[in-house]
Amino acid sequence: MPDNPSLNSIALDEETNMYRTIPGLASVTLGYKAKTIGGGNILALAIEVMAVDANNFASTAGSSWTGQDSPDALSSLMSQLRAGRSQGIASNVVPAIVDSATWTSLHLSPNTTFALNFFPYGPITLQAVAEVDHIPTISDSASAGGTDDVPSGGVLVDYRTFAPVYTNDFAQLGTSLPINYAWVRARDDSASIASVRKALTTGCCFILDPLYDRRAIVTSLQNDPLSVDLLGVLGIGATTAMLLALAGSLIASWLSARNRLTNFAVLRALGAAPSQLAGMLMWEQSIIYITSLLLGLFFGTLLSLLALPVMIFTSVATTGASSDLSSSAFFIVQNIPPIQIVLPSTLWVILGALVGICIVALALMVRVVSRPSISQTLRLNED
Amino acid sequence: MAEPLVICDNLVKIYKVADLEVVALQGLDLEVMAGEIMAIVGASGSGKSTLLNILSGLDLPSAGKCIVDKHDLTRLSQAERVGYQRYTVGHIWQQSGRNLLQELTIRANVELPQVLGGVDAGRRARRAQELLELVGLKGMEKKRPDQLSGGEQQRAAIAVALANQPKLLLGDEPTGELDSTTAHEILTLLHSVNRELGLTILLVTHDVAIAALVDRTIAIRDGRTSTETVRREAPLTSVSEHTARRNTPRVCAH
Repeated sequence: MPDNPSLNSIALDEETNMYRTIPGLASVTLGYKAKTIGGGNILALAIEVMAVDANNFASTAGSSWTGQDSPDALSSLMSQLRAGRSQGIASNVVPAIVDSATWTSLHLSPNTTFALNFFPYGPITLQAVAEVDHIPTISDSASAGGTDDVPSGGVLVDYRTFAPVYTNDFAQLGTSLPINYAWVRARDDSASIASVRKALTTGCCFILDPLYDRRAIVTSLQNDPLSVDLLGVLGIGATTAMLLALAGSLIASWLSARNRLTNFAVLRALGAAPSQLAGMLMWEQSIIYITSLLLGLFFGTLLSLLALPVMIFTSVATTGASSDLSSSAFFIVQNIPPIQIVLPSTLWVILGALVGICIVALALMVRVVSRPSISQTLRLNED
Repeated sequence: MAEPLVICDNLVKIYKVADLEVVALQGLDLEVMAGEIMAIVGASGSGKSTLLNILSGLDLPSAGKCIVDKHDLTRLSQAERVGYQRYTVGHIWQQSGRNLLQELTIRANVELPQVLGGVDAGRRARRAQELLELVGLKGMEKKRPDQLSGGEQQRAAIAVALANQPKLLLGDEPTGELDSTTAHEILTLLHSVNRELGLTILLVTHDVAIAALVDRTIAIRDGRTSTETVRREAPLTSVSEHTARRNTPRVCAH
């Protein structure tokens, strides 16, 4: 969104209400985003500041904050910022949520103050109230050296606290804090998404440029040829393993029943009803399948945790935020958006098929143990 | 006079093997009195095992009547057949310990038929202990079948067969795999079980020497009763009427 210096924090509500008239919009937050310099002239770290409207940012961005970003929910972080609003304006110190890269670089501890230089105007004092691992949409990397497109860290503040402090600090320079960034969340249905996209890219009033469309990025990554190829190869591998395991399980069930025909004949001769035999086999098979399921889940989860983070299933998206990257940003951008867990509807069909196969295996075993004549199985001498 | 526990009247069993029909029993008549211990002898193919299969509820007769303890074996439903096998008959097989599960201890094996019958744990344990003492396996409760000798396994098998207090004990060559000394011990045990519990015992064998050790021996030939040997200390007047009425040749021993 282009800078608009005529707007100030008092106009935030008015501007927000205008955006809310877009059909299909679920939530919108306006604010300010800029690169600053932290750590004084010696460190000169590039740090990105996001000033958001703490009143509604949680409902706009809450779903894109994951456990990978912060152990605390966004709503509790925002309430911390709101709680420190009046005190912050009075003392000219802005409460800030700091990402771990900045926290480490500036050697912060809870509630310590630090300054960020808003070039060319000068420094503003902030107070670190909470640490998060990562602030989404800020591609920070301490190891990237703090270039223009890869800042060394990020800081999240409340626009309604930050704007008065900014205006107050730089009053003699005749500047005020613009609203230069909008975070928009559309409703999940496709009509709403299309309507919001249209409003933000065409028309007179709400055009955002550049527009970083997370849903478009996710869709493009999911349909990326490299991703589809890799998932196909992995799918074939997993399906083959599963089919072999199922075939093995069915054969093992059949053989185990065959090998114990005498035992089952003894049970039948002692007066075991067919339902009792089926019940015994069901218990036995249930224990086997539940144990297998638990072990499979455990080792599958372990494999996912150990192997998946280092496997990249997509190439870099060619649209949106990642379309014009420097080489240093190349690797970092692959974490954006965060890992998408896709549960295809066919998964339930496969689970249903598995249960069906287990039932078939059980029926097969009951048939194997119930059919042969008890007397022929148990008797050695035949007339 | 004792009531007959087993009544077979004109019993016929025809097996169909592929296109061939084999007549295993052709009009066999038999009565076994409650509390009696008797043997059925016959050569291979005479139909004695077929008769035992029918009496144990494992097979259905093709024609004729077979009643055991008021159960008409030709008309039992599936549930009644399970109940009959569970509570009315007990089996001992030729192979020592055939009705024992190798994975279970002797005590657990004796408890198993009671588990199938829904007997509670306390009663099961008491009954198992009593039976193991009766068959002379006290102190071996925790052993598994493969840790016992052939004779001991057959004793355990008898305990298993008696677990649900059956009315009729069926033995299919119960001494066939044992040496003569052990076989004699097992027969003595069966006699004592017969005496102490009043249990009716029907043994199938081709060993005519057993005839000397049981009350009555019936020989089967070609699916029919051929001869009947009664071993009695008492005079003929005490022999049951049905035996007296028979027109089959009779040999009285002793």
